[in-house]
Amino acid sequence: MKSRLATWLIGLCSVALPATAVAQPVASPLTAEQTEQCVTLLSGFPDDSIEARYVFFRLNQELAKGMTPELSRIMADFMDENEARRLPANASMIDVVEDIADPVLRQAAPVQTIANMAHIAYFDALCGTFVQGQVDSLLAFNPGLVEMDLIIREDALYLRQILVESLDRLGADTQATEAYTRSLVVERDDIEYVGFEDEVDQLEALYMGDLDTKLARSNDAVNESVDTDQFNDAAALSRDLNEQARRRMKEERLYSLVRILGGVG
Amino acid sequence: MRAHIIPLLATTILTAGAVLSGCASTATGLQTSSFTSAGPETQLSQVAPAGTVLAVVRYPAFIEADDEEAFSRAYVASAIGGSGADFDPVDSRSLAQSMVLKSNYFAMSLYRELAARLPEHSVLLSPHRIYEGDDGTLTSEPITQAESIASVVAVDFTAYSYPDIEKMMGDKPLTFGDLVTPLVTVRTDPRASVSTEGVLLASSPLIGAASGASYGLAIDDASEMQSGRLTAGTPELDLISYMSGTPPMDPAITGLAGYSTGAVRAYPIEKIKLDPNTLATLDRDKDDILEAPFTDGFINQVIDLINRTDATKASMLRRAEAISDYDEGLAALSFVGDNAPDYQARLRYAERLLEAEQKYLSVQSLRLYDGVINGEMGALVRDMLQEEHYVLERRREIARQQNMATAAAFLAAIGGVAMASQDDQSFGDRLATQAMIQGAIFAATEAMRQNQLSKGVGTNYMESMVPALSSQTEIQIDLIDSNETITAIRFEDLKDKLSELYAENQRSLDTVATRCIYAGGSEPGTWLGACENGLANGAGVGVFRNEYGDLVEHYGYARNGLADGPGYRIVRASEGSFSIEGNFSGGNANGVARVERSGSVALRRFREGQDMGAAPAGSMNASPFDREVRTG
Repeated sequence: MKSRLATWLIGLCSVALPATAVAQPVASPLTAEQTEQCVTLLSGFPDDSIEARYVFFRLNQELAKGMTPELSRIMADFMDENEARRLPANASMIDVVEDIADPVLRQAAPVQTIANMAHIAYFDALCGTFVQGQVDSLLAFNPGLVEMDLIIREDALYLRQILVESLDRLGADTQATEAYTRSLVVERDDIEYVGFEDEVDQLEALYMGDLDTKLARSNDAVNESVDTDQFNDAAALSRDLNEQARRRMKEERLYSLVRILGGVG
Repeated sequence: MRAHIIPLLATTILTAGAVLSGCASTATGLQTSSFTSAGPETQLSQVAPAGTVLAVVRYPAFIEADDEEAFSRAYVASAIGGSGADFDPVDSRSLAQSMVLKSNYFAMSLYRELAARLPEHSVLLSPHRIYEGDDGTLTSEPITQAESIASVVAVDFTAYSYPDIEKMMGDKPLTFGDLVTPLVTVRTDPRASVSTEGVLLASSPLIGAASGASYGLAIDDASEMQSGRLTAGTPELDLISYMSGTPPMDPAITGLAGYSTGAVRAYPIEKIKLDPNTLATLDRDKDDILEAPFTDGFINQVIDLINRTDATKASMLRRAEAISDYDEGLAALSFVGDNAPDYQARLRYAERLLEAEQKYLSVQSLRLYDGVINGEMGALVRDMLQEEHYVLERRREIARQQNMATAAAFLAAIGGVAMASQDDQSFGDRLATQAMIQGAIFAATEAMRQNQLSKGVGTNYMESMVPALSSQTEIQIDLIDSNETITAIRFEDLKDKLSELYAENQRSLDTVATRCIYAGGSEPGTWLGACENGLANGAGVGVFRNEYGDLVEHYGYARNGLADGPGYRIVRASEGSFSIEGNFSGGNANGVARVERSGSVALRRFREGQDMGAAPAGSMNASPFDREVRTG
């Protein structure tokens, strides 16, 4: 997973065009000042391909999941105690994501990890609508991008677990951190379930398709063996018998007419 | 004068005979069923739990060859529309076969309409084979696996005919040519409509037997649970319960238009007339000839009943049984559920497997429909209906001629009597009297001859059809058998694969359902669910016998072996089941509870199990199936 993440991050960082190039209308309009700040934060974001841009925006969204105000406050408290670790408000998101994934920093400076995740929470609160607009636009252009979601979620979960480890190492044992840890368990369950469902989907498609084909063939075989003459013969026999009965009745009618006319009077 | 009296008397007797035997009916039917006017078009508002279909259409598919005589005997003995002493055995047997064949065909109309109006994969077909059990009782069982998964309602359909072909032209129920007499029942699980034993709507003659059979099945299910097994029995066709003399129950009954919880909607026996123009050009699934006069309105009622049924209660036992195939530790917890993440996660996996089963079986139903309607089987039934229509029309024509002859005989007899009663008749008068008498005799014999011819036409048809009916029955058996064999092999294989997948992926469960003691009855009962120290403790189901010896099922929560918290209690009393849904403590109802009995549903106040009277207006009862109340 780490290597995949590293590949992405390299891809993300490979091209850096002015952030204004991607500024698009969003559902809930930001002020000009906020838009400018979001664009600054996103400086260096990838635009070499639609896929890389999608991964970047979705990863930001996923990393911000489960960040409650209480958890943000706890992280802010750590920053108060570690003023030097506090990130500047305009720290680039690319740098932030790279730092979280850095195994050396993770081991050596858990506070740094917390600072980075706090920045992601800050970014999401400020630019969440903007990011969603980007994601929606990219999906509208290529709905197939959604297939990358599972991998993005897995990578984000990995990075979020790093936050939990960091908080744990620093002794942040509160209800908010417990709730965050539980949210990671739910996320892990969801991700595993998606994988399970995918396998069930494949089994379903395989078995249902196979069954449908075989049943159709079986129906054809039954139809081919049907002897329709038997019914036609039966119907013809019934009509013959009825015709005979009708003729017999006609004869009887004539006979009884003669008998009545001759026998009465 | 005296010379005329004897032939006149003979004429009058002959005419009276013709009138008595010969006022022929022309076998009429209703243009539309009562369902058409029973209510407005209903849209589905029900959402079934995962892995639960909304409806299963059940119908008699074939009678085992060795048991045709037993079926025929029961068919004659339980004739709907009046009993008769001298049914012709050959005709009755052919009529029985023809009834089953047409049920196969017309049941597809219900499937087609339901499938069109309900979500994908939510309707299944369940053909039944009819046979004589080891104990000599006629019974039926599903041929496919369609009833192995939970369903909100099951719809039984039979195209019925009175077992005497000679009565075809009268007012007896008939499915022949352009006439169809539908016999239906709509039932849910007996745990979802306790006061009617699960029967929601039924043709009037079937109500008692359907309720009785369902009650018996509910007792069997509860007994199985008491023995530690989660098994939901599959009911035989309600028509078969009726024919085999199942001890009836007597639930409250209501009409089709009005809705009343705790009462069965009764559907009268109706002979529906199909459109003869459509019948003449009937072809594959292009036209559904039953749709306009019957199916549209009936399915409207079915959807209304689906909407009004508690889908959780309707599916809980069958779902638990299906879940137990994959995960026994989870099954009994699924009755009332749990908010714990481990339970929720595991349940989601199990439910996905049930959905896979459901989708798989729906493919089989679709192919069965296709095989019947678009195959030779359907083509032959359509040909048969058209031929029958020809026969029926012929008999109608004869009936009209017979009626005219009868009328002529009657008028001539009246005229003859009037002329003969004159004291001084001239020669001309005598000639006229004689002519009238002769005319009356001729018309009367003609009427009786027409009557005989009409009966002969029907009998000739049925007897000619015997080999064709047998042949068509064989096609039907081939079609269903081969479909089921193909499906079953792969279905088992699919279930094995799903089971492996489940075992590989499931997470651990903190609380596992087991079997332990449930107290509160005259003797210790059984609890299937969460247990602690050998006693019921947590979610699950308990079964015990009360002081009257009635079996009691309790779905909900327990503490130290006794019901505690929201619960749904069903008492299978001998005079009819009833339920109490509300809060329990110390094993007894305490507080406001919803009580459902035959014909009534009311909120009552309870204190330590004692009914203290009606609950104040605006009261609400707790329910173990309402997660919000439980957690709130």
